[in-house]
Amino acid sequence: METENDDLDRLFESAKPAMDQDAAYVALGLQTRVLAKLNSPSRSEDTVSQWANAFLRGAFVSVFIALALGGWAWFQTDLNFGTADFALSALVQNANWPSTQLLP
Amino acid sequence: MVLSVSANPSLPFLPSSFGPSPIRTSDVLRSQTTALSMTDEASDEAIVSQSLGGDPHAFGLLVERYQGRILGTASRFARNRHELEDLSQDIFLKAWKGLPTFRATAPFEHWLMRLAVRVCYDFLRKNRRFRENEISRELVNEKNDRLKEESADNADLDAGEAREVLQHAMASLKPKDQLVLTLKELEHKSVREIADLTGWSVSNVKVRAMRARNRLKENLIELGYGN
Repeated sequence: METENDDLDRLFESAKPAMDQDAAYVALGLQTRVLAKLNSPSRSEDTVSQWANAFLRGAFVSVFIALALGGWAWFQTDLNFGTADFALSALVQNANWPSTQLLP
Repeated sequence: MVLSVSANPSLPFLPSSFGPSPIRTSDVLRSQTTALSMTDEASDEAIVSQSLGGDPHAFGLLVERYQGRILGTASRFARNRHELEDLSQDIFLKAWKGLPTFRATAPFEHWLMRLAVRVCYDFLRKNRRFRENEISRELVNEKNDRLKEESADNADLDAGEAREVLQHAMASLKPKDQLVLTLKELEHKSVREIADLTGWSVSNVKVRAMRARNRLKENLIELGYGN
């Protein structure tokens, strides 16, 4: 079973009048609609939303870069997890943490 | 025919944030005066340069001049009048925004048609999933069964039905395949013209067109429309 080329070509040709009919219908007033769209205030809203999107994207990228740089710096310096743990316990003792007062 | 621009008070000027250049009221008033002297015989380049000055009415002349060509092409991609309306408007709005990129080294019509094909391709890509879902729902419709019966014995379909059958079969093709097939079979563009419009190589267009046509045949048979 095979669709012959002639059938396919005929199908393409048969479909065209409906498309042409739509084109003729839409042609009525297209110019006016395009000019109205150009003049529409929603266009400036579009621009505002574009700026807002660009700002959010910029903020996201900045945070991502800051996190990446911070992480890199963390592993490059001595501020690793062990040091942080030590620093935390020192802080607790120096702050005269209530639990330390219970110790004999 | 003289372009009458002052007769439409609803289109005084564009917001400065949109279009080829910021527009001031004084610019518009001046451009309207010059537009009055612009006739249908004015060259595309002259109208484009006036549009670049921020005159939407001059651009309206371009819309009027090329809407037939654009609608002719866009109607092959849209499934109904609403889609065609959106698509054609989108093409002209993108043309307005892209006017500063137009170089007069090639005719304006070529530039506009390339842009139109690009917008149509984007349209196919955006609506692909939606179309596929819709088609799968429609496949269970009684109406579809009737169409199958009618086309199975090669009966002559009316234009609307033929378009529906074609849309069903095309829906599952890749957007690039749909684009090539539409330009080649419905618009009767040559391979070289399609390559020029899409920016693809001639051999790529040839191979893609042949494969797409074969896939379309298979789809038609699978859907029960072949004989």
